[in-house]
Amino acid sequence: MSDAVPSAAPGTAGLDWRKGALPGLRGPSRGFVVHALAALAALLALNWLVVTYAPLEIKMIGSSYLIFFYHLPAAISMGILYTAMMVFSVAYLRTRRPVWDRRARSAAEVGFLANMVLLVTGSTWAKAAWNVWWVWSDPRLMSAAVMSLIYLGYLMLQGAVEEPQRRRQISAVYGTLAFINLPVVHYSIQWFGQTSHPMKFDSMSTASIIDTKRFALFAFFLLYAVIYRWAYDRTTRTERVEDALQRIRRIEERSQT
Amino acid sequence: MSGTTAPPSDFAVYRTLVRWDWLREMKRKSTLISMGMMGLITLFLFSFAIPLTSDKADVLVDTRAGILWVTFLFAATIGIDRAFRNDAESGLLEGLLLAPISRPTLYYARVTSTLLFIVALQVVLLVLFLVLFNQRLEGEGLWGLIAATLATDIGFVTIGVMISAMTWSLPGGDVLLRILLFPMLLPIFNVAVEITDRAFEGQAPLTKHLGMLFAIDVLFLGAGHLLFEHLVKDSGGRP
Repeated sequence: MSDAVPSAAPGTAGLDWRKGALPGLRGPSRGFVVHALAALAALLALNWLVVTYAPLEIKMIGSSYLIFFYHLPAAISMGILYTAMMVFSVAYLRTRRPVWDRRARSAAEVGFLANMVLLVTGSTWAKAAWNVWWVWSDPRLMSAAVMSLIYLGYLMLQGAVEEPQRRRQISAVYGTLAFINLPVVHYSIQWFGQTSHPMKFDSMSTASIIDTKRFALFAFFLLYAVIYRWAYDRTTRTERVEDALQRIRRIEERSQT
Repeated sequence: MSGTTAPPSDFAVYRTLVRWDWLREMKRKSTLISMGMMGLITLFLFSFAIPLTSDKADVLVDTRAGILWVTFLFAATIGIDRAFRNDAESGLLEGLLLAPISRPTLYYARVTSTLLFIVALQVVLLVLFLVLFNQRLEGEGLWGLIAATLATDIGFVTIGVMISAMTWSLPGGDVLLRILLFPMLLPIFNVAVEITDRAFEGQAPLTKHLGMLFAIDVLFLGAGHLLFEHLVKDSGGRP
């Protein structure tokens, strides 16, 4: 062999990063960088809008309302990502194509992140407005917390099952069950306590607040989409390497017998 | 060997499976005894965790429904965890999966037998609770509690058996079962405690509460019917 580059190890065929098999291995793609920079810029612009454009105080709750611009996008993104995760899980169960499992996993990871942002911003607001970090009797706080526990269970499941096919199967079923349970969690808890969670303030319908809210949604959708993309690439990469490892093991076993 | 006998109907298979589970448990009693012990220990833990002196009787009035349900939950989870584990350890499960039994039939049979064990357990634990904590249940409250407990158990078992089928073969599966199951059960638990609270006051459950339990049961049962198959399909004979 005159070629200086060693030929690929047996079992690793198809693992060539130059052909895009291992996304992100040699640094992020140009498209990803542009996307990430755009999200970062939008986030900075949002902070600037919040500080300079939106009114710093509104009636009744003062300046603590400003966290709403970070809280609302998290709630909506969480809803979208959890729904997407259920759709991907069902798609996996129907087609058995691993790509759906990777999408479901990534959506669950980012959905859980949005869920955490939701809880932390909500809790911070509660400290400012109610002077406590946590209110056990508030239905909205509780249903968001229970959802986070359910999806944390999904993420734990990922590390608990070794065999990839089995893991995909269990995750997809659990992902679907979790989503079916969401309305139950939401409504059953809402029916019991009276919430003191503000849904809308009359003084919030000014043009500057509505503009900022729209921009906040845009900025955070961009941001969560970048994180999803990153999570998906990482999952794909890990899975490809794991597949190759399994193939190598099988070849080794065969050569020993 | 005639070879021409018609295969048994799904219902006959279901009945046989439930009967087999019940008879085997009556012979060994290992699951029932573990569940009962766990329940008893939980009750004792509560007697230390909350003040039960006569001048603080209010505390027990506020917490009794919760105590009862936490006890039920901890004890019943052992039964849920063993829904497949016992069979798998004895190698029976492989045979069951190879036999021409429809997956929903197997699911319903497991749900029914687990439900039977849990109801048997709850009868004992409820009596123990009433005696040890000096409580009374009568009239509408008692019947309300029975109806609500059955409805809660159905929700509990339908989703529990699903998660048990996911976790029994995993390392640390028993812990994972609880981590996955408990958050899913919180809504149903919430309603059950509410109804039990009313029952101790001698009041019948609200239609709203029973309706919610019923809706959750139907939802979970439907989900189990559709999804259980996916947990046992192409998995090399393992559920």
